[in-house]
Amino acid sequence: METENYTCEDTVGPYYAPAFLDDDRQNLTNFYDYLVRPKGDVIIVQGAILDRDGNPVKPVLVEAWQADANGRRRTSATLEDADLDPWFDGYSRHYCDDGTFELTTIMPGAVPPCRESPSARAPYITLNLYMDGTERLATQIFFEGRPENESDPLLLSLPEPLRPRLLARRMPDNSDGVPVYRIDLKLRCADETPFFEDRFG
Amino acid sequence: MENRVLPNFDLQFDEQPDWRRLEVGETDLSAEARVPLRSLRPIPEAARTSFAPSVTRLPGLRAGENDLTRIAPGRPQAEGVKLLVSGSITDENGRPLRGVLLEVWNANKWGRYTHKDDPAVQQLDPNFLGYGRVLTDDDGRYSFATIRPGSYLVRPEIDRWRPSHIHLSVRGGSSRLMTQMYFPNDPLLDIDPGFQLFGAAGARQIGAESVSRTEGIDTDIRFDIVIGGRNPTIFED
Ligand SMILES: [Fe+2]
Repeated sequence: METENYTCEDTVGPYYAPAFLDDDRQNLTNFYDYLVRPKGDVIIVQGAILDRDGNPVKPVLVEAWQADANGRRRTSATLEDADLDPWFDGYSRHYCDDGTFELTTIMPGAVPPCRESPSARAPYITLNLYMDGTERLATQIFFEGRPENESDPLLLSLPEPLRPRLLARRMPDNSDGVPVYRIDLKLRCADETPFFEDRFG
Repeated sequence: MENRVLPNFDLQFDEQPDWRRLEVGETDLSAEARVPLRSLRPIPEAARTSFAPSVTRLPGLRAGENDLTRIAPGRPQAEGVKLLVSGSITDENGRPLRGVLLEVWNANKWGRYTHKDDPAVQQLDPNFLGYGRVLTDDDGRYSFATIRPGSYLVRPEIDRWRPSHIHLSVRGGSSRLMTQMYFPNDPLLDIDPGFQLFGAAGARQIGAESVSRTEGIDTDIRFDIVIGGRNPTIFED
């Protein structure tokens, strides 16, 4: 039996420095302002993080990561793979001062079975939330209406009534014609968002 | 913790009694409004790696970012007890984590952050910003200098103070951790809701102090960080 020796998680508190974000990005569709673009369809994913009383939680540090348009995710193990989009790194981190988040990105591809993901996956974005009063919260969001949702192992692991809470809903396009998806993440309430225990092994 | 007051509504979908439910620290108003009611859901094997981050790009640091006792190299030191905090960052098996980023922030001597949202009325120190960063070296080691932070009052109406603490965030590759380091023999640890939730594991969160021989430093603190538990390092660098 292993002996627990790891440093405990603690709350981020209210005073994380926005300056630590450096050039972490809310827009993953431009590759650090070079004149190259990732493959795929640009989308905006937005939402609010709401507490027990429906009030926006602020501030929240949001981390998001996802696969590219081919359904491949950049990790140290996939960097040399031919079908990995070299112009999409798929990692975003931003500081949400007003309780809302907005990520401009590429619609992630459905994930084919591969070394990193032994089962096929529906298009998803992983979200991690850091806020005062709680340790890190981890979940994944999906896109309303995608047929792959019907067989995604994570969605299927939830009781059916909870699944819609992880579906981002299609909203009217923005003024530039970019599709907008919206999901509110709800905390400590009757219809709260499911969060996951991401301890491995 | 079981008999805490839960809103009176249907928890019928909470079908994971064996899974961890995040706890609400006593008198922690933020936690009372935010901590999810239901236990965390298990992740099926097929989706596990998708929950591990992969951060392949870290910022370049400026000289002196790991000296929080000054706002820039060559500037005067801030007021208060000067600390040199150092240690290793390893995974659960003792493997050093090289080139991972440690972000550090703490209040000044009087218990005030320079963050715009800190409502404290204590004085600011013109020589203290309270935010810094450092990358681990090839042996997974780090060090930074800072000021011993003052305690601060978080619940004036019930006179609850936070113990002295330094906030730490680790990231790089699939490694990450959000934590706080505390100080030995601080009586406020006994009434800190967050610290009390650690139980016996709280001992791992306390730095080891010794008198410093480094010029310009009063106290050395050894604090080794082990990335594991919910925060395992699963992709090799
Ligand atoms: Fe703090």
